[in-house]
Amino acid sequence: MESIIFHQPRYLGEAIQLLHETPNPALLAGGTDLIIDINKERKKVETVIDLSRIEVLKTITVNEIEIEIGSMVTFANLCENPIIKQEFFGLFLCAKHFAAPQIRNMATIGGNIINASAAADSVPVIMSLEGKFVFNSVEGERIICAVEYFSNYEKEKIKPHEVLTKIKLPRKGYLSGFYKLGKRNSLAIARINAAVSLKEKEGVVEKINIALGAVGRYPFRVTEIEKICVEKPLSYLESDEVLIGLETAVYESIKNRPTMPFKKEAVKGVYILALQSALGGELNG
Amino acid sequence: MSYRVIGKEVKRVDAVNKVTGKAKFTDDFFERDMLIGKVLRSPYAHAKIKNINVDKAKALEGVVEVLTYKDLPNIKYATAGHPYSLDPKHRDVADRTILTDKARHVGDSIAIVIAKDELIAEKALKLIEVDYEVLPFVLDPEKAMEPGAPIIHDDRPNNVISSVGQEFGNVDEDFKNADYVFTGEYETSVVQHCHLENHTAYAYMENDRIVIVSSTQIPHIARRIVAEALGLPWGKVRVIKPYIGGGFGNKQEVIVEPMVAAMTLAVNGRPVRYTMTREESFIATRTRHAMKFYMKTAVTKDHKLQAIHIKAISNNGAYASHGHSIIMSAISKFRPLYNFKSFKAEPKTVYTNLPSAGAMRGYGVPQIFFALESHLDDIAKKLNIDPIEFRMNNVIQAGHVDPISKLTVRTFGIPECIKKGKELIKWDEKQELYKNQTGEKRRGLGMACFSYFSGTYPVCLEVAGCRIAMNQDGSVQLMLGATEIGQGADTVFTQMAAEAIGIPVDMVHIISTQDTDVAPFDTGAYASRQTYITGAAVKQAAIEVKKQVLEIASRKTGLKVENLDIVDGKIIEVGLNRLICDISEIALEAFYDRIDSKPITSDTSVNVRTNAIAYGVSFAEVEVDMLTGQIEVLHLINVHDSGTIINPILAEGQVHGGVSMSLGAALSERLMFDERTGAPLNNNLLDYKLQTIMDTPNIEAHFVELPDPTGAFGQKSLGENPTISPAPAVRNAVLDATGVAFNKIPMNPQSVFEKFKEEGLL
Repeated sequence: MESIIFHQPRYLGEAIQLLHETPNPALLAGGTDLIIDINKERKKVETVIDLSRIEVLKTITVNEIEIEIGSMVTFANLCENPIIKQEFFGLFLCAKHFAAPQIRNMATIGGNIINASAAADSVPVIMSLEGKFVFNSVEGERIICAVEYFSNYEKEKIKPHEVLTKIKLPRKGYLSGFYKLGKRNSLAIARINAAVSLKEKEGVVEKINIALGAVGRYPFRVTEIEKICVEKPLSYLESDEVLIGLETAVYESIKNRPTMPFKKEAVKGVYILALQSALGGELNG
Repeated sequence: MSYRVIGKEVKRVDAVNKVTGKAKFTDDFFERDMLIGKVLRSPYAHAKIKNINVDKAKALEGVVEVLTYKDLPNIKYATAGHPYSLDPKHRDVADRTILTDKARHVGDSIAIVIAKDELIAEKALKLIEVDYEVLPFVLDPEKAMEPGAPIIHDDRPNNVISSVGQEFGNVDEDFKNADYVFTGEYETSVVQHCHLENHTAYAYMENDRIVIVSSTQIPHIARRIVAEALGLPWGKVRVIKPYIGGGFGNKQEVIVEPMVAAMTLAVNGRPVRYTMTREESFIATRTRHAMKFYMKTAVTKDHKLQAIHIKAISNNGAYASHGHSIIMSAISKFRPLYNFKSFKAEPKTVYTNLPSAGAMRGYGVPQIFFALESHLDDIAKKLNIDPIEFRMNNVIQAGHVDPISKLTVRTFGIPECIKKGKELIKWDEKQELYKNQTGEKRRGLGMACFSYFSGTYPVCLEVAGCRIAMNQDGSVQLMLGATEIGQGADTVFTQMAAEAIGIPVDMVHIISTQDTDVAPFDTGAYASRQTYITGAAVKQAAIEVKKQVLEIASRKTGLKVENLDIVDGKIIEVGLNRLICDISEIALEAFYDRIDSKPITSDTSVNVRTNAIAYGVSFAEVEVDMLTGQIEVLHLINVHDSGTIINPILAEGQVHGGVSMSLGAALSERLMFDERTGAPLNNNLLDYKLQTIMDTPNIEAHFVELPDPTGAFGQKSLGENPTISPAPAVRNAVLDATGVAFNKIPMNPQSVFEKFKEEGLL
């Protein structure tokens, strides 16, 4: 292993300047993937910029219309935040079931997004909550919604001189939920995950967002199904039309994968459990 | 029998040292000028080394030595931790060398680098140039036996290590006359021990002797095998075993010790350490044999088991290790449970190009009971009878003598275990409740029984030594060759010595480290033998010490020895219960009496030629999510008949760990290999789905205590036992919940889903 240049900026401006000046820097967030990749020599890195000392990236701020989660907020932080538990229950559930306690203490929401794994747990939740990513660079700020970022990933993905600074979630009062199917209950990489956010009035669906993960190269929303659910009674959400719609979406997404026959069936159960966690609120927490 | 210390929840003698981090494990010892060894491992499942060039690696600064098979003696040896046998026919298959000229699995040992530090050693590994002639390989044991299959070892051209079987009675006759004949096929997967501490050892030379400090279950056997592998007199090797971070049978194998011995020999005796990575541990130590059973059973119309015919294939991987002993253990240890009139087993243990399988907690018995107990439930279902009644109708009784091994069952607690488990899980009530379920989540109950041995008699020698030396204050040092490997052995031996001498537990100082230069001879921790076998030695030595103490007391008081006793460290006159003196007074006299000085010691050895059959049962309650294929174990109860329980809290710990291991095999664990290359796909703890605490249900441990007359304190085995029956109990509970019979484990969501699909449930 060759030696690596290591920067540990204290301020965001400093980090942005370093990013501007350094060719191919690796950004270090929680390190639960990067450090392992470096140690196992799966990734060759010349310069590491460690973001762990930049306080502004570790804060969660709330205003009237939205919550802003710093990219260096850990999953343990997310679990502990009362507003996230109250208003963004799906994100709370995702954080609660993320990996294992040691990893939740280290891993950050920003790292989970930027790593862009097919099975990233936070991405479907952010998509279902209509979240946006904020990138900063010497050129200024770039804001992009999570769905757009991943549906057009090759064009929109983080640029070498950018840093993800915030995740914005609008405070729309959605009931939200999340479910992950893994091979075990802790330290499991999702086989399938699903996030549901919805608004209902007197038992009628006003709006619903459904996002699926680990059933394609990146998580995605199933907008066609979402549309047909609007103005239907809540019971419709568990109807065959919706379930078959999900089955088809998964089939189309991973047609040629050996896991397709399993995943297209299992997605129904995963979705129903995510939906129930949204409707059941804290009871399922 | 009433005891003062036996059966009490005595705190582990190593508890404080371990939780405060003071306990020293192999990697906590450092020597001056210690070098680091690393092993180059084969990327191919089967390949001949045509040429190997180490010049570049040797030239790297910081590299001290590079070794290949050419540098080491061409001696074939066996790694299994069995006692040496005087009968050459009874010895393990010697089929490996320390480094090989032909890779037989991905991960086989090709070369060793010895360097100043780990990073340099790793860099040097990449500089070794190996020219491989890649050969066809085979992973499936059935394919390995086909004509024309790749030959893995030249002296076994059909790849069969052994096909020795056993039988009694007339199976053919009984099948001919049978009212019913049932067949079933059952299969288990490759799993691994996943002990916390990977294999690690270091070695150095003291004069012309090799000293090895190693994380081993079997120091005395390790010493012999290192000497064999290097062609040295046995006395030239000394093995020291400090605290160890788990073994589960994987350290009943001599794997890294010959390597570090060869390393130190190559560098003029400088200390060299070799510690495996987790990734190496998965492929270069041992695994549990994947087994496939074909069972055929004859049953009478009043539901009596008549005959059983078992054909079995055991996938042994690349080297024999414990080899055929494992499936022989399976077909022997399951027998003293049900009353079969006739029995025939035709097992085959087969070489393939997978990493070698070897000893793992339960030694083949979890596999056979997964098959048998699943099979019995399948039969009960077809006959439309209660699976518990079916079993109770067929169990043996105390006094049963096995027709082949001639072992006698002296205590048989299965009926009580079943009764207790059935009540605790509310079997009848819940059976009623879970009838005719159709929802997305379905619950069910299942159970499974098992039998297991205490030690290896009559197959192997069972010998154990114990030395006790009394101090001036009346406390004693307890020295054993038996090893503490996390299971709590030191604590139960301490209790036994305290009980038999009559002193408090804190007056027994057990020497936890075994050093083959000074530790009494004992073959070590395996086969759930130590509490039973070594326990007999501890009792014998303690009685000898007590006798010496009382003889001095008798001399002092004029009372007869039989009128004296030691209670809680005090000499008393029996009957009157009168205090005579503290034991320290006697000890001081033993040391310093000007005429009769002779410190109190005993040094004994026992050769145990009995075996106490232990039993138990698991009851499981599960909930199956029909949509995702997830199986949740809601409740698991193990009830054990292990004779007298020496320490209930340690016994409970054994059960928790064993159950967890079995649940992993049932639900999530499987070491997977790429069929195109033979390379492992999940040799790490993220992708290999060992159960976490979040997967662990409420586990209850209960004991039915029937003191066995052959146990020094009525004890029978317990260590491996809890790993046997949970998997089939869970499988039978899933059968009860869904009507689907899973005949292959693990039952992970995808395989459950696929089976549901196959059965038309989806």
